[in-house]
Amino acid sequence: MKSMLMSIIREIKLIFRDGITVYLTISPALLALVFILVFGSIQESTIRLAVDASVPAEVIARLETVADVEMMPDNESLVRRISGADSIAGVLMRGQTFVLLVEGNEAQGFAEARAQLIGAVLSGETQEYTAVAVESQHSLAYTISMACILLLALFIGGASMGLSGVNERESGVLRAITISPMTLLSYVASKLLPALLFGMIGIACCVLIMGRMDTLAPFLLLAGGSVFVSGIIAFLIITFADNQIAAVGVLKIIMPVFLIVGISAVFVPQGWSILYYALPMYWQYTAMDAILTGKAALLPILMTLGTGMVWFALVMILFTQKVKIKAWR
Amino acid sequence: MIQVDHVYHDYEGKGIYAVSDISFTVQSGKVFGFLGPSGAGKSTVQNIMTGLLPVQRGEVRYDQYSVKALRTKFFNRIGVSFEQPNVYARLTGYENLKYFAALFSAPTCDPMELLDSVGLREAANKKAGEYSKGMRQRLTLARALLNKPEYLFLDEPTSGLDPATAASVRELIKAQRDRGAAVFLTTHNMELADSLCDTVAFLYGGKIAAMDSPDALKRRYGKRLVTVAYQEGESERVAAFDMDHREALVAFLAQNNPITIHSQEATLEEIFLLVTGKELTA
Repeated sequence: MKSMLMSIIREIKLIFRDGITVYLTISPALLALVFILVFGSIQESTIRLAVDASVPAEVIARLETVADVEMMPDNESLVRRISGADSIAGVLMRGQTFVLLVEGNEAQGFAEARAQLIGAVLSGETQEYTAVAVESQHSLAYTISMACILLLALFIGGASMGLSGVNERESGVLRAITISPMTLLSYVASKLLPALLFGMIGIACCVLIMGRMDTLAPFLLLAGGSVFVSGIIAFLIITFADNQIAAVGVLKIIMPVFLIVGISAVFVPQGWSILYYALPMYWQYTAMDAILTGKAALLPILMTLGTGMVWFALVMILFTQKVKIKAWR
Repeated sequence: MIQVDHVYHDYEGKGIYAVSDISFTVQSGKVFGFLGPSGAGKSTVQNIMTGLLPVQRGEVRYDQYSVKALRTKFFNRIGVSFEQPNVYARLTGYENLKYFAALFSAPTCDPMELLDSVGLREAANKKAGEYSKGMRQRLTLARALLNKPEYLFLDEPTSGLDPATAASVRELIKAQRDRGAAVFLTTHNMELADSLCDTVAFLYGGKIAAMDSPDALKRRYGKRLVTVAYQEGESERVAAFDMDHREALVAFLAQNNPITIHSQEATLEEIFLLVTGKELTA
């Protein structure tokens, strides 16, 4: 237990003392920031309106019941405000007619919903409304982009441990460990536990940045269920790379496999999905899709764990043969 | 005690043996020197002895227990210092020792004391990657001593060290021997072997070409001659005497003014050349 704890502390120290690994670790969080710039944050779901002096006070009062309203001194300021970087629409009066002024690059579903709501308020029909789901935030592109970032967060934990293991192999430290009382099981645990920890931290950061804190618990559960997937990644790298340059080569091969294989199931006919059932990456993506769309994700998480364990055992056979480490002693 | 009996090893399984018919015993409290040039099979034998390579044929026993049946706890009793310093470059010297100490379930030495003993106390908090090769070599040696091993394997422990540090490492090895450790020393440094080893074995072409104590080998292969440099008039001359005819030497010394007197026993290097027909180089 003491050796395992020391190994975990050592791994954390090694990661934070290596610039490349630090960058790898924070890269999913950086991508999550890019994601919210592209898709916007779900937290910003209130309607924001700008009005100029042409709009009567009682109409402004009605608009304030459904939106955050900003007052602009004149029409020119109103147009300038609407052209800004954030998502805001304008309301003005031309003669006796209300005009809804928009930037023109909003998602179609969002623009229509907003126009209907504002139209109803301005006509005095109703001031009651229910939230309308914005189309782009449940689109395939949204789900896949978010899943890619979250899969990357899980991938990085395993990849970091893989690079650490390659360093041990290259420097010969692994030989010193082999002739120490540390067992293979302890060595494996010393890689899996930090990978799990980094996966959990990475996925929590991404979920937080992307404004989906409501999904934090199931995503952490998925990170736990992906522990053997992280192990597969780590030990594939250690097995097939005996130096850092070779490790980059192995990363180039396995990274697309682990990020794309699961997602690719979306694009194949339903009947062919069965071909993916043996792959933990498929279940990882299925679980993510279920979590993001509010469906039950326990089964795909358990399948990720189960199929991951089987593949991990196969990778460990390769690992023990390649690095000549005794499985049992 | 470590007993190696008729060990063979074939890496590719094609009947070409990297080492063949290797037999020797390393006694507790003794230093056994394994000497040979690069590629002779020294590391193969050490790897078989430490369990890094499987025993294909023959037997290796630690106090009657076969290396094939050794369990995890046994590794609390051995220490190995590799020729290539293999430490965590991004951990400090102290962190390296502290980490490895935690792997043992037996009592270990204080890492700082060990660093002190190999002259690294000042550099204890410096990253091992910033150490010179000699410093990393000493760190590797210190790591091998962490668990006060009963069986100590040292591969070229003074390689790349300056004479003063090499001398302190030599003293450290003597101290391990004196506390009762069985020391297996792999080297091509004849001076080191001569000064430390109770027994040496010459390994050449995967086979043991000669094995005995350094003194016995010198007696067996050396010339029993004494050379005397003496002054004759203005010039310096040298005369040689057979040690089996001491009367002639005594008479010569009585009549002349000797400057130096040297016995002509062979060096281990010369014996290696004599036995194998090859020079002992790295």
